[in-house]
Amino acid sequence: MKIRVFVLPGGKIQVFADEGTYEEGAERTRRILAALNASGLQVEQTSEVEQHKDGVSHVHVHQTQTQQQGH
Amino acid sequence: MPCNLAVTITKAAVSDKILRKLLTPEVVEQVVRNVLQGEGETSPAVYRAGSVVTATSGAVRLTIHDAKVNASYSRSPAAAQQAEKLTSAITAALSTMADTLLALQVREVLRMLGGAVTTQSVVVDNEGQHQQAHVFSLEI
Repeated sequence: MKIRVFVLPGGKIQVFADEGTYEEGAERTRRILAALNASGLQVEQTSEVEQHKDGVSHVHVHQTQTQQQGH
Repeated sequence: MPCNLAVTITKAAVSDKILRKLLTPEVVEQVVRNVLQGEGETSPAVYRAGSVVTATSGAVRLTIHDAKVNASYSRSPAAAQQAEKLTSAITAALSTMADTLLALQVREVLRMLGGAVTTQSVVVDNEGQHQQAHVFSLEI
């Protein structure tokens, strides 16, 4: 499943699951947040795992201003 | 990346306390050096003792502890102005460094989870505000 993780200024994080079902997206998201917490970051979930169609506010990427980096 | 491809969206946050922890005294010292060099100091007077970093620039003495900048200076408008300028510059640079260190740690965690991670630096529209952000893409 393709996942995107946005790291924004001020410690803000947004996790997007781009494929699969809601349940699969939720499971992947919980797995990522658990891994981040296990690394010592003490990440606090500040929203429920929302379905995009519910109109939850989120970041939009401006495609013209991207710089791709390696793995 | 049209956002209507997203199935789920979840928000999370790392506290300021944790962000400040990422800024070790060694990192703070280097950030302060970089800022002072940017201000024209060829050999910045920056010292580190334990968790406290101190620096001197002209009539301004800076003390940085727990990512907070404290400036003391002689009683002159020029010194006051310089103190404000350096305090703002160092505070902003520390904030940017904390964001970068967080992104690096997130990337490492994601690599351990999913192997290959593609990294992009992007400008995002976050509720009407344009912000620089890191985006990590992976398959898990």
